[in-house]
Amino acid sequence: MGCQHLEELYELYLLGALDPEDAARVGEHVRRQCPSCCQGLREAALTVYLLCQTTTPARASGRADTQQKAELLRRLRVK
Amino acid sequence: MNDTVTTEDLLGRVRKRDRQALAELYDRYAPSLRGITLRILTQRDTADRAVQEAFLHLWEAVAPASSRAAPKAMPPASTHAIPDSLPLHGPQGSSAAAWLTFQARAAALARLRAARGADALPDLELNGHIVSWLPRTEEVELVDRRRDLLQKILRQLPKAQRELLEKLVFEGWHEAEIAEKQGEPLAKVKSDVRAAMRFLRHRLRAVMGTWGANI
Repeated sequence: MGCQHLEELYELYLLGALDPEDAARVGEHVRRQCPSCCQGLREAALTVYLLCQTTTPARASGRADTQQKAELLRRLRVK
Repeated sequence: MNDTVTTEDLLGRVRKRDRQALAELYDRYAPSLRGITLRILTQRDTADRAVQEAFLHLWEAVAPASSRAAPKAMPPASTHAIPDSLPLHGPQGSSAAAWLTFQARAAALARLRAARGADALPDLELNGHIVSWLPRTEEVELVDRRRDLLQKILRQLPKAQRELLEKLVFEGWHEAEIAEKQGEPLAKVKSDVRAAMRFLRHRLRAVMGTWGANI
């Protein structure tokens, strides 16, 4: 598909880490649903997802968790 | 929390404006999302707010168009809106876990960058395009079972490259900012960052095969 030159940019594009010029190069392919780039981005998205998930899950205490959930539902009602 | 209820079922109920279903999704995913936002923001209260924002975006994103709030009501971190056509359920469904992860990270980084007076990270203009690249549920489930692999691969990277990834993923710096911050040529930073990503990409492919190829 002629997009090999963009392969190095997919993860960085998803991370928002590219300069505007490089981001625009990838973005143009994304906007026109370039199949090669979309496949590359999907693979990259899994890598980015995994990188994010290198953190340790943080459970709130029972009371704090209840409060957080109540706050979420309250914010829903406001919307 | 009832683990026998699938995420797809819960999303279907959320689509029908079932708040309890959103609360159940929160129970399911908030701990891992809070781990990410806490790593980024370090303060629990703001980290919790960023997690909430991810769920508020989900609530909006799966809403039928007729009940969706006006776009300007969405917080600015929403660069990953799900279009009406997103097949959130079914065998081809995109992963809610991945979507929430991207949203929570974006919400946390928006707060972090605003606090240090930096511009928001580039808008990826993903509205309507996310379907094309967001991983499918079964792909995410596969990699979730092998998270240990990434930890091992990351430990194989030179320390300087690991620190660069940390800056990109959790500190919200982009390449040009890192170059300026470290007083290094942008070309060198780009070269180092891309070498780290290339290493990760190739090692992950080697140990797991091309993503999704066997799913």
